[in-house]
Amino acid sequence: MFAGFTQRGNFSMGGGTVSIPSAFPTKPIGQLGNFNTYAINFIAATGITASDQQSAINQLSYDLVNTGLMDKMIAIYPFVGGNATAHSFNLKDPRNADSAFRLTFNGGMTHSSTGIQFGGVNGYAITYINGLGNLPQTNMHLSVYSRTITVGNQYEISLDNSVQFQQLRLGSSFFSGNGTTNTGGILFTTTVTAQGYWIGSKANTSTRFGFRNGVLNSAVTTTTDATLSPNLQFFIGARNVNGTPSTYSAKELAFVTIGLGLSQAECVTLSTIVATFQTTLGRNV
Amino acid sequence: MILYQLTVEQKDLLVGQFFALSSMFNPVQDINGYWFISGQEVDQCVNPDFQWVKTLPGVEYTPPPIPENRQQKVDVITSYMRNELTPTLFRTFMIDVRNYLIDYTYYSDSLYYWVETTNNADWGDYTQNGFKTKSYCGDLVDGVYPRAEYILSILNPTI
Repeated sequence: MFAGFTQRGNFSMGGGTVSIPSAFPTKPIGQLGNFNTYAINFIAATGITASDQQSAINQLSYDLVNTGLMDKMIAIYPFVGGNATAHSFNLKDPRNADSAFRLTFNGGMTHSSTGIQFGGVNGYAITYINGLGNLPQTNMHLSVYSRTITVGNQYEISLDNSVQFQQLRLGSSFFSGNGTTNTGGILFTTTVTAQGYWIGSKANTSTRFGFRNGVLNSAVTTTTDATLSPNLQFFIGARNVNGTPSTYSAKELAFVTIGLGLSQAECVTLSTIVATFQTTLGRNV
Repeated sequence: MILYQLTVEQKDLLVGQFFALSSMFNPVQDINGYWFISGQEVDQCVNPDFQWVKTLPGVEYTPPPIPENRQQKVDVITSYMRNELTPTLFRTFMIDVRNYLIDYTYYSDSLYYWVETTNNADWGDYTQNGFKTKSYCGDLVDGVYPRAEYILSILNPTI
C-alpha cells in the first residue's frame, strides 16, 4: 500500500451482517482504500514513492472528481516526480501510450521536483492530443501553472496551421479560433509577470475568457467563433506550426491541463484546487 | 548561449532517437544553418548508443531570424510599442476627439486592439482610416498588419 495509508476492504459491513456482508460496495467506486483510483493508477505508472507527492496527487484527484472537473479534462499533467518519465504521464489516463496522451519530450529541458524548466532553445513536449479529433469544436480550455515571471515571446501550449490557432501564451493571450478573420481570440490584460495559474477557456462559440490565479483577467462574449480546430497535435513548451516547433518557452511549468470548455465558476474552482496542490508540494508561487 | 554543434551526419543519427527515458533529441539549426543540440540533451544523455554527444564542441549559438514576412514586421512594431510606450502614454496618444480609447496588445502573428467607448459607436470612420472594424463597441477589433503600420505611423513616423 502507499506510504502512510492503510488499505480498507471495499466490501465491508455496511448494510449487512458479520456473517452476511453487504453485496454492494460500502465505499464509492473509485475510492478504494484511502486513494482515488486516478491517483492509484497514476502513482503506479509514475513510480512516485514520496508520501507527500502521493498525498498531493490523491487530493488533486479527489478534488477534481468531487467537483466534476475530472469529466472536463482530456489531459492533466501534474509534473510530479521530478523526472521525465513521471512528468510524461496523464493523470486522467496514465497508460504509457500515445493514445493516452502520454507526453514525449523533445530537446532541452530540466525536470525537477518543482516541474519542468523548458530550455527556450529546442525543448518541447508532444501531447498527441489532436485539436480536430480529440476536442469538441464548440468548447475547450487550456491551462498552465508557471513558476517563471518573464513573459517573453513564447508559446506555452499551441497548435497552429497558420490560419487557425488554439494556443495559450502566458501573460499575452488565449486564442481559440481563426487568426485571419479574428474570431475566437482574447487578450490577457497587460501584465508584467507570467507567474501563476492561467486558464484560457472557450465555454462556447461566443464566450471566451482568461483567468489568472482564480481571477477573471479578460473576456470576450460578443464574437462568434465556429472555426474548426487544425488537424494537429498540441505542443507544450513551443508553438506548433503545421507540426514544426518554434518560439520555444523558457518557463518552468508545474501543471498543465487540456480539456473541455470551463465556465467562469469552474475556472475559479479549478484555480483553487491547483493552488492547494502546488502549496501541498511546496512549489506554489 | 553555448550549444553543442553537430555535423549533418551526426544530426541524422540523433533525429528520432531517445537520449533518456521519454526524452528525444531535437537538433536545431543556427543562423548559419549549422546543427546544434542543447546542453540538457548532452548532460542528460544516458543512451549508451549516443554517449559520443558528450564530446561535442560547445559553440556560441545564434538562433535563426524570423523570416522576412508579416510576422517579423508585426514583431518589430509590437516590440517598439511594448518597449517604448507605457499603456498610459499609448492611451493618451490614441484617445481621439470622440473620446475613443484604443488599447493595444498582440498575439500570434498579428496586432490586436481593444477599442472601448462609452458610446455605441459606428466604426465607419475607422474603416475610412484603414481600420477593419466591427459594428459594436467594446469588442475585439480585428488586428491586421496595415492597421499596425497605421498606428505606428501616428506614434512614430520615423519607423
